[in-house]
Amino acid sequence: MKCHECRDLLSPYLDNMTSDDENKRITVHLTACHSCYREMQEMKLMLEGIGILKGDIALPAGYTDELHERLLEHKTSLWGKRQAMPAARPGSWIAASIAALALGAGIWMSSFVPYAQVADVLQKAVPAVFDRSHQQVKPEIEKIIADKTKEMQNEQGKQSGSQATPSTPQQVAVVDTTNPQSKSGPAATENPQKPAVTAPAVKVETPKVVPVVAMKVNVENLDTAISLLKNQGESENTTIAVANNDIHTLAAGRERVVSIQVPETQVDEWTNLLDNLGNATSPSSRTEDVTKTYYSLSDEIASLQQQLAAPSVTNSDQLKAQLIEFQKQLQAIKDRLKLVTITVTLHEEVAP
Amino acid sequence: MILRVEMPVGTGSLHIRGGGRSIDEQELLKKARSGDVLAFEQLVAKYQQKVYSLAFRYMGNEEDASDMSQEALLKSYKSLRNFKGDSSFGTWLYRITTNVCLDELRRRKRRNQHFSILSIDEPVATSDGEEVEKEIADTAPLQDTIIDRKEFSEYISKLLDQMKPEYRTVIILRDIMDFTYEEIAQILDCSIGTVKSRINRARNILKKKMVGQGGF
Repeated sequence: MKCHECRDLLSPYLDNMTSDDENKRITVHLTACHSCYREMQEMKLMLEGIGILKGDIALPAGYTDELHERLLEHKTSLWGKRQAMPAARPGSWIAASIAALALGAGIWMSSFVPYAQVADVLQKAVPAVFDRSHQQVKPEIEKIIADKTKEMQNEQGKQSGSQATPSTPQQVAVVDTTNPQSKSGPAATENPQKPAVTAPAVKVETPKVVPVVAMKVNVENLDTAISLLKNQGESENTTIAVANNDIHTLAAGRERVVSIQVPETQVDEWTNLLDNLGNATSPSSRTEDVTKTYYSLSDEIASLQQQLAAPSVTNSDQLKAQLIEFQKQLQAIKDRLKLVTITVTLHEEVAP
Repeated sequence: MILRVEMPVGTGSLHIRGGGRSIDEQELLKKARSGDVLAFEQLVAKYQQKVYSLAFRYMGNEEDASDMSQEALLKSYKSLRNFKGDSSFGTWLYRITTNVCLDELRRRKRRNQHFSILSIDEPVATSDGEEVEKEIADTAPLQDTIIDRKEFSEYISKLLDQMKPEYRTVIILRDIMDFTYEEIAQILDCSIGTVKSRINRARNILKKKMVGQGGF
């Protein structure tokens, strides 16, 4: 090995990044070459010197708070518009409603109009209403359907008896059997007095959103902090839910999430209290969408009530117990909707 | 019916490590990508001190380090969607931090060009076209005057400040921050071979200056 080769490999050699073969050749060369040996010793000394700068530097006071503020500012500029709307994702609500209505209307109207016609009507209507809130959209879509129904009834009236719109077998299968005009054959003459068309009932779910204030507090002792919060909750008759298990964080320490439900007027008081528990991040606001849970519970309750009302009910005790449980859960959600939920992550540092 | 009550952030999450990234980190990433500030803060909590330290080594003072490291974290928050998981999340953060700091230093250099800030390792051309190393007045404390750890740190930092960014970067990443060659290659987006030769070159430049000034 020549000197320049050895010197090119000195750093990787000191960092154990050279191969076995290179190591052997370097060692042999260093034993024989005083100059390269001296080079290596100087480099080692220098690395020891630089080593003085090793190690992480403590974050300056207020660093995480400042970062939090800056993140929130960015968030507002990035997602602020969407957050300001009532539901977590109002666009999807409107789109889903329109899709549901389109589907309902499409199936229903398919008995006497081609799909393309329905699609055309809805397509024209959608852009005009898409930017508005769910509640504003609902009556407009209903009106569109009602108008179109009327229009089509008139057309069907003119054509009845002579030209029934051809339908596919699937379309026939979903035709309202109470509608004599929607199909040809004997039923068309059986009940001629019945109303021609009944618009299908479309269930509209109002978004149910819980305001949430989230914060994180680094505490000295997790258990002490939790019992302190529980005591405070008891004295103020406030609902406090503590997660059953600790979260073992990637960094040293353990965490527990505590959920506190308070009236809006008491939010400041509680966040101040949490702030005093330890080193706390600034609270951030968000929303939690509970619409799905709310309506699935409501549906279950309605279905259970129906089952209980049926004369042939056999397992009424079981159904009643289930009904009470669901009613309790629904009430809990209703209570949450009236209050603000403070979600605090308590973090306890554990020495490694 | 299976009733799934939506739980607040962080409750009931699993913390199983696997595939290099824990389920918790993946979950936090998912939330942070949709704009959840709290999830992002939890995600970067274990990296932010190193991010700050790295920025401090580049910038040399608390105020700039604080500003640049936060800038890097904000940038990563905004571009979380671009994180494909090719490297570890930490390496990705350090890469952004390095780029943010180097960009700022270049910007400052351009702004202050009329002050002719010198780089100790940048060769200058003589009248006959030959490139020679600059002779810089020795402002660093000499061996016999370096009396404590703090002064010696300042002395090395000062020498580092005068180096070209590409050499200074590898000294900071390897010899101060203790990253492996592989990590440095990922942070700088270059081959391990390039990292090897750049580290060797950088150390030789620094050593030469220290020996010349009686640094050890």
